[in-house]
Amino acid sequence: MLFKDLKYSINSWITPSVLIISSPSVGKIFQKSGNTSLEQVFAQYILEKKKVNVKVHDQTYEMNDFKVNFISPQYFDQQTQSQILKDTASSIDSLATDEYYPNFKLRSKQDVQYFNKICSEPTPWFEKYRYQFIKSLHNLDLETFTHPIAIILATSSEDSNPIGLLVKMFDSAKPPPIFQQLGIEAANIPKIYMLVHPDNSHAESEKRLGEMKQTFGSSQSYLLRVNTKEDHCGLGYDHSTAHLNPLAPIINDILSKHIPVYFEKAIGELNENIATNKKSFFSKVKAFRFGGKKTNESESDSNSPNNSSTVEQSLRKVGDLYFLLQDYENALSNYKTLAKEFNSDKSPNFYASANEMIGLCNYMMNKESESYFEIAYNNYIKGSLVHCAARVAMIHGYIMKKKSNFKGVSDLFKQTAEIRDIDPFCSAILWEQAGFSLLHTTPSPLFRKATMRIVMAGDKYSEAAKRKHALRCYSFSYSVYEGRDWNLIDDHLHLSLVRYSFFQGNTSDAILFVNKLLEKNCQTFQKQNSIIREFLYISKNYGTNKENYIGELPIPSIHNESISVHLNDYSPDGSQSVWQEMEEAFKKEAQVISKPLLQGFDLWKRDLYFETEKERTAVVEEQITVEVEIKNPLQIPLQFNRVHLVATYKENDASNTDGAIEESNMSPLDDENMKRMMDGSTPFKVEPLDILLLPTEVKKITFSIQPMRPGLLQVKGLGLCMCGAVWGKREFKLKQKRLNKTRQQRESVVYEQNLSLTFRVTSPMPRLEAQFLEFPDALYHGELRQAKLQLKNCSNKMGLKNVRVRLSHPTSVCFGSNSNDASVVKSLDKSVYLDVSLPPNATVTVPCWVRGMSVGRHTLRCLVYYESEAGNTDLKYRLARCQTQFDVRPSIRISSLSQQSCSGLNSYLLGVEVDNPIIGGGGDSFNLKQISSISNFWKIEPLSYNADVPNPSIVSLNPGQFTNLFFRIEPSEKNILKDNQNQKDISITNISFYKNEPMYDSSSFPIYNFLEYEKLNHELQQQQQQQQNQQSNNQQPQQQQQQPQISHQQSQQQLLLNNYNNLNDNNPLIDNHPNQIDLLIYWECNNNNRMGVLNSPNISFLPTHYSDSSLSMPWGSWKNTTSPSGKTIAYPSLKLPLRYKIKSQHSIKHNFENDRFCTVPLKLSLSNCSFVHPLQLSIETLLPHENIDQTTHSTSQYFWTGATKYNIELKPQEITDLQLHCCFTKFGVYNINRFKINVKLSNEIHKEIYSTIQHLINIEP
Amino acid sequence: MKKIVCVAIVGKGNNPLFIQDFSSSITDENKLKLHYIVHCSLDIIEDKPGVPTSKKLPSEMYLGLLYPTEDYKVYGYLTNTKIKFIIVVLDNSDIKDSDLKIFFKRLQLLFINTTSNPFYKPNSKIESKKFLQDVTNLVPSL
Repeated sequence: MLFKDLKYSINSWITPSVLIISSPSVGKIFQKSGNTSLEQVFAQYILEKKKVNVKVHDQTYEMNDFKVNFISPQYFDQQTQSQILKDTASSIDSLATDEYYPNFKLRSKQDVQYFNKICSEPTPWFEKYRYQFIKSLHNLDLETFTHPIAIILATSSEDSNPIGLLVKMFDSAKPPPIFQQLGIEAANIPKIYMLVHPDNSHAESEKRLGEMKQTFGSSQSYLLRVNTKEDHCGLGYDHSTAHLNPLAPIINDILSKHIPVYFEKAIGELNENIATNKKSFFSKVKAFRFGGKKTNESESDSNSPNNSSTVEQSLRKVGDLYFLLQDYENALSNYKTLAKEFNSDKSPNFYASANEMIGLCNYMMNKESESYFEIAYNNYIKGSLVHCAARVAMIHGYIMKKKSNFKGVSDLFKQTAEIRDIDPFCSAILWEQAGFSLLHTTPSPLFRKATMRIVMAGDKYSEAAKRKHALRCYSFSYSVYEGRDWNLIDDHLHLSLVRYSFFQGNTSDAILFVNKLLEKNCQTFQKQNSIIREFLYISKNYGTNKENYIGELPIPSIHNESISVHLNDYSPDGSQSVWQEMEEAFKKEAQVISKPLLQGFDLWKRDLYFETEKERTAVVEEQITVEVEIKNPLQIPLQFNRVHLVATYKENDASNTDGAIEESNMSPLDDENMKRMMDGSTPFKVEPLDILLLPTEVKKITFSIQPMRPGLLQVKGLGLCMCGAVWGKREFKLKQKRLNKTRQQRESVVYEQNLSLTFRVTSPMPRLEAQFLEFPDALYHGELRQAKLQLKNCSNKMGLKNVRVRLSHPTSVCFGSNSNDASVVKSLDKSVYLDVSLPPNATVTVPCWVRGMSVGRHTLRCLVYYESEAGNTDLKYRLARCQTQFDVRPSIRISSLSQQSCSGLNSYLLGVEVDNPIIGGGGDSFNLKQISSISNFWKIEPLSYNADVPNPSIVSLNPGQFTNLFFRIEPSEKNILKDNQNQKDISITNISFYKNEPMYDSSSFPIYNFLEYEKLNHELQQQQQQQQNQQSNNQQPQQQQQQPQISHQQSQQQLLLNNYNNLNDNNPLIDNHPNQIDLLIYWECNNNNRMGVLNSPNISFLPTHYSDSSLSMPWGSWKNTTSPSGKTIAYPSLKLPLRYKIKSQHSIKHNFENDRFCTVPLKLSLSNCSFVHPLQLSIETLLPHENIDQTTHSTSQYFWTGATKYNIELKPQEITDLQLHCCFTKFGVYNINRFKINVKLSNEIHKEIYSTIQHLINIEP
Repeated sequence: MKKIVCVAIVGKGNNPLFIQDFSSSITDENKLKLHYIVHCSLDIIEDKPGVPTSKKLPSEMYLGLLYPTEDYKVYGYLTNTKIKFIIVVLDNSDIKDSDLKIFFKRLQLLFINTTSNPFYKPNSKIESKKFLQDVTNLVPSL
């Protein structure tokens, strides 16, 4: 490029000018055709290289590329500097780029080298700017390059008196004031007179030309015929036809005839002038030794009034003319003389200018020139001609750069750029150059300083309103500071980057930088305030697309973890897990889950069966609520208007997934859009909210969205209007699971889609609302109350069916009012089916009974399942929740005990202790109303009294009181008669304590059902306990291995315990054993006539037997099976429906002298007290020495005689007596317990039972 | 009139650990300029022959005058752990090198005391108020 060469710039600067003065009519002619002017037409003709030969003092100058500028007189008037600088600046606008090098980031020293390599010329506009700057910046006081070297005077033949006009237009004796002002010698300048003749004019042009030739001389008069119909009046320059063009000879004449003559004449005259003035000048210098230019000037003015130019002016002019002729030697000598004339202190500008020219001459001759430029620069600054200084700096900088003195360049440019009054754009350009020069410094580039200078350049560019340049500077420098904690610098750059990114329309960048700006939150609140203000202002005025919607906003911050979605109309509570459990159970029941059950080798492939998460299903016209925590991160309050959810909607059309219509509301929610939404033309509706966030405030806000059509709805984030000015959105960023299942996923980073904000909107479904009515707040333990569950179908279009209910306390509620309409479940984990169907808008109340099951405060949660009558493939069923709270207070407490009766082998004792445990005030008193037993085979009858309660006070319990009641349990007669044929029949005994009052029916609804529920619950708990036990048993062996030093005694006890457990577990006779009775005690409370029933289910009265042989010591039964503390000592025990009893005389008188053996007959009664199972027994007596240890060895012994072994089978309820004989040899008291009963439990398992009952026989003399 | 305008401590990764200006009448713009000056002086520190390369340790931690700007002079001090201490003083103040050395030594001592705090996370910004107070007390000593 030509601009790169400084000499080219200098030549264009010193190009001489030809003044064209034209009459107004000429101006009009050219104005009409192609909006041009005579100057412009002329200018076309010197684009080509023109040869000019000038002869001065026998020396011939041959210039191959001579150029002139054609100027109008206005040129001298309009020379306002700011305008020139502005034009110069705008001349390079097209060269400005967004980045020096795309995506380059300067992070460290090493990057600089790379940058220099890839981007050798980051600022191509600089050279052009320098060219324009040097070319167009003339200081008319100091230099003479703009002085015209020829004058063209033009009139039109349409003017009334063209020749008179021509004479008037320029009078050499009285030139225009500008000539006087600049000291231009008008007389020598050649004048060319020209008559412009338009082709449509009828004036006699040839005649006029003749007149002109007469007046002005033939060589100076020309006629120019123009064709007004063509562009440029038919004078447009064309290389091929140039010689035919009428303008070409005129120009050639000017260049070859008039100008060389002028040069010759002017130089000659000026030299003469200098020579004549020299003498007087030197004398003057002597006279005024310390005189300056002013004296000289006045002197020379007075000396030669007809010669308007001073010596200095003449010297300068001559120098400039020589310079023009490229005779640098002569020019230099003239300039050197000139420089001597001036004084750096008095007239720094002239001094500087002369030195500048000396420097230039030296430079042109490739001589040392820098020192002259330095002098020029300093003196220009002294004389406050900043732009001349800038020019010198540019020239000097170029020379230094050629010599690789980058530091010098940088400092010079920096110094220049810092001058106060310099044009900001020029300053910016220089700063930028100063910066880039530093990147070239050796040994190591000062890149930090460089970037600082580029930042300064950015500041200056912004001052000059060159936004593109400014943005480029800032973003280039930003990479050095980015992420390095230079807070103030960061803030400055961020703010600038925000500003200019916006101006340049890079909204996303701007937002990014706003985020960064506010991220650290380290500014003062005033500053933040101004940042926000500016942000609002800029984004409002420069927002890219329609209606200032700027997309992602930087604030407020959203806590993405806090986002929670609620589909139906219930709100969540703390016990989400309880609900979830119930919901899962319904899912299972409705068979929505289709998870295959995997076993064995299939488990290897279980990843393949992994269920992909599905989007949730929402129903048309039902609100989805999203709860979000938003925070104001700043220290200033922020206001947000019309905050709403933004979402995208896709129509549910399986046939064309790609072409499906997608709609979103990511546009300002202004009044128009609001109206559209309210009309229902949008696929969903949102509810806008206004929010004010105080500094650093966190708010939890619930937003809602209402889908209006079936399809796929995806909530994207929040749309909001910041401070009432800027519309934008904040997207939710949900946490996504990293996928890690397949090899492909492991190798690349793939995230699972988070579907928690995506909803499949289905066609309308009925919606049910459930509510408990008349539900008691507080219940006594066991109290029965009636309540209602109200079900309401809120849909006004569709009915619903298949209503099922699941409760968190299934044992506490029975649905139904009497046994006919009761809805009862057989198993507690099943849901209750309610036989109701609800047509649209219907309300149904389901009666139910509530019973206080366990003391405490309870929250009853009820989940109602229902299906649409119309059916829906996407959503098979829906759930409704309702919940209520109630207290259960303690009422009375029952403890029972059962024992074998001594009197009858087939009857048992039942003791019931009832107490009112509330001690202190506030307790209620309870009256026992009735006691009922429910059993398959057994009945109870009172023992404490006969037929009637003797004293009612024993059945009314005040706080703190207790009462004991005893009953006998006997086989129920009717069942014996029926002989086990119909086991389902149960025997119910009701004993009322108040004869006259009606009795409660224990077998009826809901009392019996509650009992059943309670029993099911017991079983459930027992199962759970067993599972726990098994788990702990499995752990025990390990523990023992770990602790080998465990004491012998402990381990033995452990062993016994294990046996005990095992016996209980494995005994088939225990299961479903009928020796059980369920006890129900009805109470009434005077307070509000409350009544309740307390159940004591499964009272077992099966005899316990022990199978430890050590119990059969002669005195073995003293080893008690129960310790005083009530704990059972761990003997291996066995519950069996077997009872036995020894019958004999208790005291026998015997004389051993008569008979050495005293033989006593005994009767062993054995009874099978089961109603179901037969018993296989073998009874065996023990030998005297059998099972006897050291301590009991010395005690008296007895032995058995006669038959000592029996094998018998006992049918249910059978009683057998066996005959045994005991033989004693001494006086004493004997415990007859030395026998064992072997029970065959199954084919393999036999168990030995030892007696624990004392049967004492006293042998007396 | 205080001579010191700004005290800065720059960490290993050329991130500022501490930067504080000590002039009564300082504008925001000048503050920013001081930051830039401190940042630029890192260029010079890196170029100093005394800067430790991989093995060699410098005998002298005081780096002397880094560069003069029109208003200020910048002095530097570099520890073996590549912590840079930089002070900016007014250009018209004439300070002896020996005084500067003593000042930097004291500043380093303060820095060591502060960063020895177990709650201080190495290579993070120093936010200790005590340190700021100590430095403020130290500044007039020069």
